[in-house]
Formats: sequence, C-alpha cells, structure tokens
Amino acid sequence: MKYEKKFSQEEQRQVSESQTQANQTIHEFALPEDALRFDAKQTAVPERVAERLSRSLQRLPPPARPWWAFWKRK
Amino acid sequence: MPNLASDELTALYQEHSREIYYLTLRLLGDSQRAEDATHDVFLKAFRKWSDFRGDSSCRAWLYRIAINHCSNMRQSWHNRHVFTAEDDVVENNAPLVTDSPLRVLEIKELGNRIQKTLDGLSEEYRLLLLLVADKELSYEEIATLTDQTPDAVRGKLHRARKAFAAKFQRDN
Repeated sequence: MKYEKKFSQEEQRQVSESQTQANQTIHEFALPEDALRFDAKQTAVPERVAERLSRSLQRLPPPARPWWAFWKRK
Repeated sequence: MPNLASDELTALYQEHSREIYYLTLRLLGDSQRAEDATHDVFLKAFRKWSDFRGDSSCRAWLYRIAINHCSNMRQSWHNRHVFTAEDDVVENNAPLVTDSPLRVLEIKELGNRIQKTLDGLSEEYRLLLLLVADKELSYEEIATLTDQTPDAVRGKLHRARKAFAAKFQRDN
C-alpha cells in the first residue's frame, strides 16, 4: 500500500514536471507558428498510412486508353 | 516505407506527407481521421498527377486538396454527429519512437494544448496559422489557398496570432 502511494506520488511528480516543461516550452516560442512548427516536427506520420496507400494504389484500375488508341492499333 | 507506384510518387509522399498529415491532424483534431485524410489526399494526388500544371508549388497543390478534403470531412462528420464541447477536443500526434516516456508525455501534452487552442479559434484563423507555420509556403501561396489577397493574409495573421496567444494563456 505504502509502495503504491509512493509510486503514485512519483507518477504525479513526473506528470506535473512534464506539464511545467510543456508550459516552459510554449513560452519560449516567439510566435504561435513557431509552436506549431515545433509541434509538427514532433509529429510522425504513422507507418500504416503509407502501407494502406500502397495497397490502394495496387487496386487502382489502369488508366483508361483514349478512344483513338483502339483505331491506331489496327 | 513500402514502394508506391513509382519512385516519383514515393518521393512525393516522403517529401510532403508529414506536413499534410499535420495539417489534417490539427484541422480535424483526430488522429484516425487525419490518417484517413492523408491517405485520401495522396491517393487523389496520385490519380490526378497529370492535372498538376506546376503553376503553384507541389506543396501548395497538395494543401489545396487537403483543405478541400478536410472541409468535406468536417461537413459530413458534423452532419452525422452531435458534438459536445468536450468531445470536440484533443486527439494526438504520434510522437517519434525514439523519445523517452517523459518526452512522449511532454510532446503529447503540448500537442493537446495546441489542439485545444486551435479548436477555440475560427476556422479561418486556424488554417492561416497552420499554413504560415510551413516555411515553404509564401504569403502569395497562402493568399491563393485561402482565397484572399496577401495583404489581407498579413492583417488577419496578426489578429490570429493575438487570438491564439490569448486563448492559449487563458485555457491552459
């Protein structure tokens, strides 16, 4: 029980520390777009988007042949 | 990343996907919907690649597709769902895998606060700030993307910055 309480306090300390750091971080930006730029840099595109896109592209029908291509082939 | 249809398309995705994903994430406020939107934007871009005339930058062209797509998604989403203010907030970015747990928490926290602040702004201000954050876009391109003059962009940007700062201070 005592351990649990201490662990929880430790967790709380870490969370509040991280919130303080986040606050400090935002205040270091001169402009809102600097904060957004920083936020964007920390944001990775999930790998599954590329995988899904790759599968979708494979399922795309081939581009339609123009109508005159049929006559040209003859 | 898996091979897409060609090297050119793979390069296109690698160069622009982060910015497109970020824009959709912060416009839609939901990571799952941002993934869907990013997928759809690039699929549309790949299919319409031959229509890209090169009179704007490739990034601006992709943003145009993304903005329209998000607008359609928001429209249909709002038609199907009833929101409460609490529901509308906060979903997150995927932090880089190399980050420590504390760092991940910090980034998530900052991302949540930014999302909450953006959600409290008008759609126009939110879009302006997100576009200006991309250094690759010129004021002229932002003006074209938002259907106004560069001078109007500058004027509104000033007000958008003030609104963002005030809201961030007040709500966080």
